[in-house]
Amino acid sequence: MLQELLNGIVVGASYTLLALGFSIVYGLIRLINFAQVSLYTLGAYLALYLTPLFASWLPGHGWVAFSLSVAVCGLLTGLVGVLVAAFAWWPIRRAPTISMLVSSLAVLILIEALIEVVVSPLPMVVKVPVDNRVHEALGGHYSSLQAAMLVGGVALTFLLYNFIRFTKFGRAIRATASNVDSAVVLGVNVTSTTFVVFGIAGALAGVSGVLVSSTYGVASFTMGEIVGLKGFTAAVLGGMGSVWGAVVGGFTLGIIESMSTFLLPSQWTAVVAFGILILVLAFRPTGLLRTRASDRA
Amino acid sequence: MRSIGPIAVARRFRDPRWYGGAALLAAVLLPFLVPSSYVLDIADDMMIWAVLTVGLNLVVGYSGLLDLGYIAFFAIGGYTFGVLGTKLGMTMWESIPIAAALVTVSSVVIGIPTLRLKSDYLAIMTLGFGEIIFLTANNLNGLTGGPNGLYQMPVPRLFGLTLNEPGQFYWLLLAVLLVAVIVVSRLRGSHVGRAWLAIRQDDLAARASGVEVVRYKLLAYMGGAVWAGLVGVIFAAKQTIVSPTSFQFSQSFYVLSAVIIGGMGSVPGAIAGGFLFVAISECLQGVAQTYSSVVFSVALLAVILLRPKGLWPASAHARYESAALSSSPAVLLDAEAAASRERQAYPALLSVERLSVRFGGVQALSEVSLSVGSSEIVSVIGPNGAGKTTLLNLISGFVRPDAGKIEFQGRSLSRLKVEARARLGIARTFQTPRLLATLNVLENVMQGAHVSFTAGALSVALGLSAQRRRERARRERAIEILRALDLLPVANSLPTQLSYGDERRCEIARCLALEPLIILLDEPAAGMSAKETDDLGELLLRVRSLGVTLLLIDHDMSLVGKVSDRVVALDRGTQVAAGSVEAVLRDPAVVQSYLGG
Amino acid sequence: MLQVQGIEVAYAGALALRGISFRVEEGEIVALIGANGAGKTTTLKAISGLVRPRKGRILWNGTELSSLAPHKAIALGISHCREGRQLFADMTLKENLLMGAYTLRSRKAVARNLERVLAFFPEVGGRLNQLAGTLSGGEQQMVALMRALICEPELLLLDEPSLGLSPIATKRILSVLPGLSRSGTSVLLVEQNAVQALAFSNRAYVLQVGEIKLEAKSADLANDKGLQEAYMGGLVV
Repeated sequence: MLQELLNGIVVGASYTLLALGFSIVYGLIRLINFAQVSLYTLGAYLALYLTPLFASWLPGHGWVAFSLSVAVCGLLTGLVGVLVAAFAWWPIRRAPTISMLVSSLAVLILIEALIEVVVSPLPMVVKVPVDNRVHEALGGHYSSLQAAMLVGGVALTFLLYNFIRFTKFGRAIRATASNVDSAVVLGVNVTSTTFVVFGIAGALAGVSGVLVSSTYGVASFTMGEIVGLKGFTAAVLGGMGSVWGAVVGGFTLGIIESMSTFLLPSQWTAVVAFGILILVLAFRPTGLLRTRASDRA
Repeated sequence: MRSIGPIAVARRFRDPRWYGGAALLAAVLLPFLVPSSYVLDIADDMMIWAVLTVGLNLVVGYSGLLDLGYIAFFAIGGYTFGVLGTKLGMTMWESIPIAAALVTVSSVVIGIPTLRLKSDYLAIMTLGFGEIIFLTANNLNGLTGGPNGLYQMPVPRLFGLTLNEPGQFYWLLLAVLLVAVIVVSRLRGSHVGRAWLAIRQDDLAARASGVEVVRYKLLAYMGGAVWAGLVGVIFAAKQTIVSPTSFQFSQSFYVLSAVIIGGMGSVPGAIAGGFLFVAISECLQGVAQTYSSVVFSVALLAVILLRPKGLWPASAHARYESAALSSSPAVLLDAEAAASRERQAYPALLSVERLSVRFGGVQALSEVSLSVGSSEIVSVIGPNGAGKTTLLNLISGFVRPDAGKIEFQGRSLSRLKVEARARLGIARTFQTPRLLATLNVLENVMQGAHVSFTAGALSVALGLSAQRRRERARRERAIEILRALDLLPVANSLPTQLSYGDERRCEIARCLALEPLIILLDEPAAGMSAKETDDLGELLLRVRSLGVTLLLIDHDMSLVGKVSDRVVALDRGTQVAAGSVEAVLRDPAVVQSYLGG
Repeated sequence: MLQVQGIEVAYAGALALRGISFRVEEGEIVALIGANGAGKTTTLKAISGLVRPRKGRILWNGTELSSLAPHKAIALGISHCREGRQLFADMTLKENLLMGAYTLRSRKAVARNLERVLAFFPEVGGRLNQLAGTLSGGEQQMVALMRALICEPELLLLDEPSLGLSPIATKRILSVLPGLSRSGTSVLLVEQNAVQALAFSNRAYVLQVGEIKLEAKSADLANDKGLQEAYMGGLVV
């Protein structure tokens, strides 16, 4: 029981990161950014090359090399996120939502397909140069990498929350989400603000991809599809557009899913997540939390 | 008889029936000209894909519902036959109705919670649904055979013939595709199709014309799903095996790409897209199958970014041709339809009592009362921010009041939705015209007549003659209205090609098509020249003389003065004066509200 | 100095401005009055860059504005207080004001200017942490004006501050304009409420269906019957 709770919390951290990405982009331009899912996968595949590279530069400092790899992969996927905004969203920013959704979807398929063609259609084994010990806690056990995943997820969420809530740029993001034209006449460059938000979402997805693939030791070019769906479910569960909503939704979903393994084999967790999505949309489409305006993104 | 000159010939080439017939002839001749089973096998795949794209086009292209799990219905069809065939020995023909029923039920279960919400939620829900169906097929080993799938279903028979060769499936698939094209085209040309296009383009305008948005969305989602389920059964029979790989998310993506690349909302575009997909995949087969996702995502991006209407864009359906014009005098209101509405004597046709509504910290309307008698023209005036449009939105149902009541023909409206109020005969125009951009003027007016169509989608699909007569009658009625409003010369134009005055009148024409008891007009003269405003006044008086009541908001006092029987003045959400035009315009409170003080 | 020369603006084919020209001198309060649909709001949007004129020039201290990106106008000292308040409803009053100071670089300047604008309307000063959407209409208008003034603009474009407000509240809002003018800020005031607009301005233009019909000293226009003609279509005697 406690073991499942522990697993759920760790997985919840990765859902939270994806949910945050969906949430901030949706809050700003009302777009479900499918492309983000491919950046999760891209992050994992970049780490496949970068983690061993950094480990070879920093022999004996496995954790340092791994942390560096997480950071660099996050930066790179963030950059790709900005490129996606520039090439697949900006030219059609005035088009109907459906065009934007399809364009975002096409980017998702393109990046996945490129990974499939360039790397391999087969799942890849991910090796991490750290001493991945198993620890005991609360009657359950967890690995060092699982701990790293939780710490990384919580730290990034904390950073993002404070960035959006208290910095000048964060305020500009919230203002743009609330009233675009007012933000413009006050001097906010909406285009670059949106690019930055796509970048943040991309970086969060990338980091999540690296942490998950490293923790579970495997990456595949379709790894983002189901997880992306869960990240979105988490965002809807907590209430789209809210940072706290994404956190609550992410951990709630992770824990429910993990607990559901008492009843169902683990390959059905996606069905559980999807069932939750249907129920939430049917009965409480604005999410479990009443969105507090002050942390809206 | 018109003589057939070169222009007429050229026009015939553009007539869909002409190239449709030519394509059908080519399809019929193909098996005789090229009796190669390789070619016919590819042709079979092309037709399977074309049925899928035509079906999805109905969902995405007409109704604007982004379905990312369309292949799930294809899978349900395939596995229905797979399971029933292998476990119970049922034939393909017996499996088809069961598959159709399963597909219908699952589309309702997914559709009902989602279609009430914003359309982007549907995208993610359908994506999830597609993944679930795939996972179920892949993991439920006992029933679906897991990753290996199901095989050894009974070979289908038709007229004593066993169907086991591409050449035999060819005729079955051709028939299915033909029926799909006919049904989908009929739906497009009917009030059902116009309602779908209206929903896609402008939810609010659709509701104001009486379209029950959720019902029609569900109908589209179901209508598309059924084709996938049906062709899924045939696909399983033709392949003689069903396995999960045929139903991955990428397949949904390919069908969607084919529809969008072909041209959303265009049946020939959808077919072309489906054919193109199979042809390209076949070419890539020899080189590298894995590149097909790259090719299709790049092609899709290119189309979205560079040619958003696709390779074969949709065209207007109903066109007005001068030959169809009868020489009888133009009639503004259909006497028969108008008489069919309940016209009893009420103390007031519309009465509003102590209506209040707040937005955030602002009291937009506070305790406003108003009554409008039959065949009256009542104007509501007041400076910006006085609450005039809010009042109209409350009456038509777009905004719910915090307090107060609205009665129409003595019956409370408070529980009725916008579309139900339209059915009672409440029509409205909007401050900025909300015409449907991809429908021409004639079709816009026909869409406005939505509530006068009672037939269901099934009788449209079957082409029942009563429904066709109704359609023809409404079309002639729309032409009459256009003639009465001097809009016939622009009947085939798109709204974007209209002058501002024409656009405004076209909105009024849409309202008249609803055969309304009352029309709510929100600043119809805004942006009009003095001459246009004058003509508008004449038009409004003519409409009233037919027994239609008008509630008018306008800032143009010459228009208000010319047409109104009574005037109500609002300021900051409260009523400051009411009575005859002269009295209200001289009222010091009104003068002050306009000029300030 | 702002010079508008023959600008034309069209929305979806309909001409909203049919070639209008006017000027605003330094420290001057100019009222642009006219009935609904006359093109007043469009004129302000063209100056701040929210819409692009298809013809004509807009010169601000000699700089051409008509091709400038809309978010850059404020850096040139042009602040646009839009019609209907347009606050960030789900942000606090203070956050709304800080957004007004978005282009200010130094924290000190932001703090100083916050003090300065709070002095205009001390009545809302005690509610800095309240969400803007929960304020009343008059209070929202005060916040909108403070937000537009916090960056110390050289030109304030003020769009219909009287919208939905009582005459007393309108007077309260407009009462800050003379002080601004004395400190050198120019104001272009768009109003439907002509009497109050004329009372608080130096000069006025009357706009009708996208054209300027009249230019006059506000004091002269205030007693003119022609004005009522313009508003009420000549029906008021």
